[in-house]
Amino acid sequence: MKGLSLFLIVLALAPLFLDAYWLRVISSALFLSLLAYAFNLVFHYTNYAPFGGVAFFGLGAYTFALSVEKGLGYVPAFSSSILIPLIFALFVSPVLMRLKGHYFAIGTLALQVMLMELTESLEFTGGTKGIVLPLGIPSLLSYYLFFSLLVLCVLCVFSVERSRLRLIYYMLRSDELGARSVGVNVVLYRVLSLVVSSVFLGLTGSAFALWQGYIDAHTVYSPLLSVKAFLVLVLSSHFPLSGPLFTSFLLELIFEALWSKSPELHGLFMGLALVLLILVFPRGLRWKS
Amino acid sequence: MEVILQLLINAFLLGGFYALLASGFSLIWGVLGLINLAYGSFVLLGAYSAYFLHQKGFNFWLVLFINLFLGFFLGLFLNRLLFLRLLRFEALSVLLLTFGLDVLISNLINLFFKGDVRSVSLEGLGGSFFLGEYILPKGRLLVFVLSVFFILLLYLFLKHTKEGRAIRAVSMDRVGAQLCGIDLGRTYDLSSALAHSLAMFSGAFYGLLQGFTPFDSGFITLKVFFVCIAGGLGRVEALLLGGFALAVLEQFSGFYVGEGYKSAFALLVLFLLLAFRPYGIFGVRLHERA
Repeated sequence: MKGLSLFLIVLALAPLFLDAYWLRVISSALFLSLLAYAFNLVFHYTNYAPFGGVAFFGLGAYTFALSVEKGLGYVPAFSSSILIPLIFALFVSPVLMRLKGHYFAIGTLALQVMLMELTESLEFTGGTKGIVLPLGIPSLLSYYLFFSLLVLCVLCVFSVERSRLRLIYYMLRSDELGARSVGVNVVLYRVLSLVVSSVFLGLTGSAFALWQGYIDAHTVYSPLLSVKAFLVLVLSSHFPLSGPLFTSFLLELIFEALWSKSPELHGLFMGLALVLLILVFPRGLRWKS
Repeated sequence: MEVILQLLINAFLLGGFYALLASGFSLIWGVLGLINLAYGSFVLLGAYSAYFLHQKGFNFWLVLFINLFLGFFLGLFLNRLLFLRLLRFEALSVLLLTFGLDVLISNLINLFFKGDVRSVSLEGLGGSFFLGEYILPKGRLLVFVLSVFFILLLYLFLKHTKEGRAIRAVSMDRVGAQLCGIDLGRTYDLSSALAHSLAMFSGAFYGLLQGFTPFDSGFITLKVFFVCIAGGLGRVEALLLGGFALAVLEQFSGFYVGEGYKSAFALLVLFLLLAFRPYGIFGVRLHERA
């Protein structure tokens, strides 16, 4: 906890000492950790793997970009990028969260691909051309946007870890039947975790859209994003509070070292890393806790 | 009315192919209890190998044979190297592994062939037969006939050979099959090898029917999943049913709603199926699966 707070303080002050290049690297590490935290709300607490969780992320990004394009201010745009993924999650999660693990994973994937197809086919989303945001914002501002979202995520996980919720989730994760028999509404708590996760994903999406200044369906609904996030999560599994942040930074620095030399190998490397990681740690570093 | 009949004919031809496409996925799911998220990328691997070899001047029949062969050994290799090691751990770890594998293969293909849309075209398959006023495109007809033929072969294999029976026994009851003296490891090997050779084999047909890019794999996996869910797991006939269900859905929504929406429409139905009929439209709940 001490290390985490210290690291957050360092991050808050970091832009004072960094040039534009490193600011961008650290921003992408923050972005990755945000994705990881949001996925982890489902993955860690319910043991379901939301492979297609980027559906909510993309929805948030598009909602935000379209609202800004339509001339709404930033505040309504941000609120809508929370609201739309939230409503979507409320709509789909009662179905998704009744499914078993495998079916759930593939169900979220279906959502992701469905949204990607729709986004590419519909007129008002700009089709395959994507959306260019009217105004670029300074990279410093988007850095602090990511940073404040990160603090929000950490606080959320912190409060869950310190409350009764943690026990409930650990119980329904390790013994669903047991949890049911003592009167825990399993589906309700699973829905809760997915909905909160989708809110964070939506917000992260809007921050991503601002940061990039341009989005299209293939970047925001990319499976690469989830592979990257799951790479982080497999590595940081015993530590839901601080793990995703530190691992994201570590991975992002490694990626950066490779990325700058050969960008076309990026996806290849991540896929390979995930496969090897599972082979070396088949228990996923967590599953036998 | 003519339009509807024509769409039904199209769907009928396509449905047979979808059944073949899904057969490997269904096999590996049934026997190893494993949802192979990388299945789509193996189909694409088949499509690209057909594209590459045909480009190099190989005969298409030979290409099909090479695909079968390649898929068989890849499947064997994968089973020995990855699946068998992980099956005794929690199911989630294998799922994650296949997810990583999918991205790995897609990017590998992208590295060699770049992201452009490719397709396989054969001489003499351009035209169509006419049945009254209805059109039967030659290419699709060929794919349909071959698909149904191979599904029949698969059916006979599973029904009447010793190995096939072993596969069915394991998919019904793992422990019971072992008690009868069936070698589990060997059956897994065979199923995985067969499943991947079916994937790569149907991949060549996929390339014949439509254009493809290295990143279509998620898409194909979902289609195949749809076929398995709609038909219900565990029977070869169910595949045909699921295949036709998907094809009818795609053809009709493609025509009446718009070509760009047909996949989204199918996925929406998949979602509803998962919600209300996860054991198949006509399926019965046989027993719980992992």
